Amino acid sequence: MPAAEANGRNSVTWWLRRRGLALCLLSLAGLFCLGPVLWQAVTSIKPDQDLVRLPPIIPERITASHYERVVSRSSLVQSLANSAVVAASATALAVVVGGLCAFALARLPIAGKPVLLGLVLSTSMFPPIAVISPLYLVMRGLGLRDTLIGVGLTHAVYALPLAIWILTSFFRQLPVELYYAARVDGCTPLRAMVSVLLPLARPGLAVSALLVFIFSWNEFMFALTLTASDATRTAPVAVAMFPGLYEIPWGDIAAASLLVTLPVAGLAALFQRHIVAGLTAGSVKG
Amino acid sequence: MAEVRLEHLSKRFGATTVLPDVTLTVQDGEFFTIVGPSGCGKSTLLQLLAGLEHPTSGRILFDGVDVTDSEPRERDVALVFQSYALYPHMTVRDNLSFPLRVTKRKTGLDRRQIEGDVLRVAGLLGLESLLDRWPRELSGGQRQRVALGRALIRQPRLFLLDEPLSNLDAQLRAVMRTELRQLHDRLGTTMIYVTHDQTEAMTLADRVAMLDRGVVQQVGSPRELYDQPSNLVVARFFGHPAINLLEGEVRGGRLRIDPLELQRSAPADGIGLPDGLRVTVGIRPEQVLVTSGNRPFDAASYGEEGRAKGVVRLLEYTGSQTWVVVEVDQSGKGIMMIGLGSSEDSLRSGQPVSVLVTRGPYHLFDMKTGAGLGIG
Repeated sequence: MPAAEANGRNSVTWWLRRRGLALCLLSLAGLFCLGPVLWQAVTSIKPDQDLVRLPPIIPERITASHYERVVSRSSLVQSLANSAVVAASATALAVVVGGLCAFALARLPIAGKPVLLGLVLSTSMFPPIAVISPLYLVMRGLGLRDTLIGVGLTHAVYALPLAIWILTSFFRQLPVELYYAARVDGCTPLRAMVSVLLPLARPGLAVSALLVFIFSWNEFMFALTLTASDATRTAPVAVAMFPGLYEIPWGDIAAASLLVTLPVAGLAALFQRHIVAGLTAGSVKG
Repeated sequence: MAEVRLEHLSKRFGATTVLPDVTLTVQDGEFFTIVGPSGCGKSTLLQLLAGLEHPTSGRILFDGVDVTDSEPRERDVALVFQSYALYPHMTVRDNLSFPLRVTKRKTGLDRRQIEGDVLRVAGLLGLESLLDRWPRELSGGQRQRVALGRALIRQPRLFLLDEPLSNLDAQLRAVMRTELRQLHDRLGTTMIYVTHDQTEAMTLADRVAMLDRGVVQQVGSPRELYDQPSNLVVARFFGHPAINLLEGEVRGGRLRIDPLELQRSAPADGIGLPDGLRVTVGIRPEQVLVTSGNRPFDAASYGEEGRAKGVVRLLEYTGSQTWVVVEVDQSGKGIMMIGLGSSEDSLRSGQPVSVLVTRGPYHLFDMKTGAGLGIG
């Protein structure tokens, strides 16, 4: 049947026929990604006695008791505050230091830039578990064990390569003439960076800040290793501490997980377009 | 204002040598152009002068003071870029005042003085009504003016201009060219102007340096470079249409040019050239007249020196003149000559014509090295 004819008769069938396969694959992928989140959401509103029963998948009775219990628990609220402090300071540190490194790598006359960039990248290839024991010893030696500073510092260091890479490509995208012009107009290299390059690289700064923030917010293993008390635990660690000796409060965990995920998911959704642009910066000449 | 001297300046990037050895002096207050085909190293030279790159060896002196190792901001030069390089996040006013604001601490200027300078420069370049616009809202010509203004405002001792007009359309370019020259005459500041456009180089400059593959081929007034090119590269680069180059031979103290029935003593200035020397003879197109065969020329009044028969291959009508490309050789070697078409003739492509070479001087070059051998 010619497409045009079908279109005239029944546009929905025609559309499905054309887009059917794509639609199927997209739904599958979507389900794969969002399935666990949905499951969590459902779990978080099920009464305790329904939690381990299946069917029904869609709960018949819903309750807010998990949320009430989680929010009233001081450890989670404290941990959210800890996470905010850690993520914010890690972000600030990584962006400032990363920005300076990136500027140097992009514009200053330094020998062996590709090697340096490669080395920077290679540091992020070590799995966290490989560095965790020495890191623990270093932090203990510095007296930073079980402090927010220790966790923030670790996150900043671990996120630094990412920030450097993103910002380097952003700085390189800016025409070199702008930097030259600033230098001839009387700027020191640092002043040229602050007055001319940074304002123009703002999208890059925003993206790297966001990515570092999300990384730090979600990071689990370093935070788990370096903290020992409710006063310093970040949110993911606090949630992991929920299970008691004899029972696992699935509903509470689900509710807490959703609460912890919500801020960064919101941020990511808000800046989605910029993040994509940031990660592909420099790959195509724009 | 400054006299600029380059002494044995060289620049290598890794294994590529961009400038092997440049020695050059630019007089105080001079409008000096550096011209050459793209990739000849002229932009690198400018960056060395501005202090944006460091030379591999050699020295740069401003007014006799060695500035080779000075930072750009210590050199007190201004640089205008082909791409204008206006700061996109600043208004025209802020772009203009940027050099003053950056050096505020050193110069001690206050905001009122800076604003005064902005207005002065804006007035000079006709930018008063654009001060609160953003660079993206300006036309190409306006951007060019802002870039110039940003260079002017600091009253630097040396202006460096890197192909500042090549992004403008032809008409605007001619206007800006005149303005630039007037500006220079008013300010009296040394200007070094880099371009690949021989017309710009010739019309603007007091003196021109022709650069090719990093080597200064010749330095002199535009007229010197045109009338006495020191080698084949210079002769080829200047003049539009390009110079006619023909093979010739010195025989018995006389010059023979193959496709032309032309015999003259060589060289005219009396320096003897060895017998049997193969030379390249350069004849400017305006020394060549092309006429249809049926219209006899009064040879004497044109100062005819030689003639050849040929066939019209191409006509290039420019309004005041018609340039004619003629295939002059019947032996099938396809030697082309370009000359002026007679205004009374209406020539067509494919038409048989006579080519008359009027009185010299012709330029002689060594066929192997391209070195100038004087005027023939």
